[in-house]
Amino acid sequence: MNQAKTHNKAAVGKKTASDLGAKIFFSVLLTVLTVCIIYPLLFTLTTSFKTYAEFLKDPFSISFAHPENYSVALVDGEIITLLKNSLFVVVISVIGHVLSVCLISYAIGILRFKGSEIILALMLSGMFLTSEVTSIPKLIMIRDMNLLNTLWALIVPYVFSPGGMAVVLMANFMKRLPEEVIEASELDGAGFGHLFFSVVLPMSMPIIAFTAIQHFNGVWNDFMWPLIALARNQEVWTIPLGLIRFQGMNNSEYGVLCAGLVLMMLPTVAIYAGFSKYFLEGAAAGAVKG
Amino acid sequence: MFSTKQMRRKANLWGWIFATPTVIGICAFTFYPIIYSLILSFTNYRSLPTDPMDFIGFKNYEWIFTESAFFKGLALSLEFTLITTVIQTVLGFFMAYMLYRMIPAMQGVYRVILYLPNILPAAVVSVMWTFIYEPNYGLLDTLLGLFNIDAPNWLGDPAWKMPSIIIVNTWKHVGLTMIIYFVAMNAIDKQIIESAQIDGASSWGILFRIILPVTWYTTRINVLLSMIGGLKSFDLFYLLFKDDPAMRVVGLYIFNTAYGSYVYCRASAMALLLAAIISVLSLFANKLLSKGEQV
Repeated sequence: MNQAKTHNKAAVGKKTASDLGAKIFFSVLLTVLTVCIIYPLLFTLTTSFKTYAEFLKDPFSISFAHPENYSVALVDGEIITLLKNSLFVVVISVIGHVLSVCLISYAIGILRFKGSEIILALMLSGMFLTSEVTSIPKLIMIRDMNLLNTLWALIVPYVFSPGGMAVVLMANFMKRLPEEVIEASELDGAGFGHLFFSVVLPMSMPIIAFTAIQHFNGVWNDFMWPLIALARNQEVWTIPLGLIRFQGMNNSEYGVLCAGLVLMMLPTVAIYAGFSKYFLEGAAAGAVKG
Repeated sequence: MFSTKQMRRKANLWGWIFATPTVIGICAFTFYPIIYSLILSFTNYRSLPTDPMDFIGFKNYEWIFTESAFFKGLALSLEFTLITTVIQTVLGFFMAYMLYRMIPAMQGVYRVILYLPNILPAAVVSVMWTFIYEPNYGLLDTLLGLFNIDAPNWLGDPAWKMPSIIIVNTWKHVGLTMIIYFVAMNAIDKQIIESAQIDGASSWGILFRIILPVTWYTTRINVLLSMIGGLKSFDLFYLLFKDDPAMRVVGLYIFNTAYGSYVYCRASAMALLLAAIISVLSLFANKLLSKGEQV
């Protein structure tokens, strides 16, 4: 008995020692890999502060000597206009889409109305459609609405496209809200509108933030749909389209090109830095849908 | 909740009122596109409102099988998908394991950094990598130059085009695979692993005998996600190779048919066929992988 105990102790001691060794080994290995993955981004950042000559002389040096690359990119690359367009689209689309997701989730999760299963099933089946199937009818629809080559050509589909996974997650979240609170409000005789705005929405803030961030990222990054829908009007181009135009203009001015890249990455990276939790939860939630 | 008959009726009514935006969305962006695409695929409609729209039977589908480059593009897509799926799943699995076994205080930061490329716009990623791959002054050329290695013309040399885009695609997406595995690994009961360690199992033994089988369901999800993503993918191809015929994957070919040559009817037929092929392949892969499932 005693012997078994000491044996066990020794094994545990050995285990923690080798475990620590493994921990350090894996930490070092992953650090190397992480540096490899993050280095292209850092390289872009350092290059963005260099003139062409400086870049050729020593591409790996770190200096912040030429911040004027940024003003050149902002003015010549018309990045200000692009940012304004993207921001306009993203703000309206995210507010509209999130509101629509909240409404349907409330109807499914709290009101549990007759027919919610059908709506949910239809929405999920739409997720398996490829963008090629939907883009042509969508384009014809937008054309017939006379919205082609305006920012509304983006906003209308971004707002109304069915929420799919976002609705499933939010409706589940609302189903798990404490029933007493909702019943209390029911006994008060307060209407469903009141219940929605003053009780359910404030309690669902985490999942609302998550939905908003996911949608922001999708809208902000989208390249193909704006390319199709805004092709003939460069004045309303969004960030990704402008970036490709900007690349054509600055093929050899690496400093300015990289400054433009940094400017365009900045909003995404800033939001990611602040809300990484919601992004990573989104990644894990995506796994559930399979 | 809302148990009285009157309340129930009211809840149903309000439910449908609240569902209105979604119902509009489903009609406009799910139903209507499917039906419209299906109709278009049997007509000769090109693109302008003034173009004729006459029914021509299965001619568009015949065209796909006889004259089009649809299957050439599909073969290229399959090659790309197969290689990226394998690399991304294997690499993502090992990265997740490294993350799982590393010093816990560091996990949070690394998770955030490694997932970062995933959220960047494809346009930004492609411009950045075009710059890195630049054959004279690019980062890779300069780095390899330090070791006196002649870098290939990454995006220009036919032999290097596919590896180059696979590197970019893996760089961008491997973080997602890793996160999904990492979540699954953390869900494993720690006691199972600890008792295996006490029994003297090595790190490799634990990895292949315990973690790999237990997370097999996650492998299935990761493979399916990369597979569907790979087959649909064409934005990176478009951005990195513009309209290089050697790199015209099936999605890009459909895109070109629709928005380059403006033949909507043929593009619709190909899009529907591709959607069908993707669902059949995913079902098949799912079935194949579920056989490996032990838990």
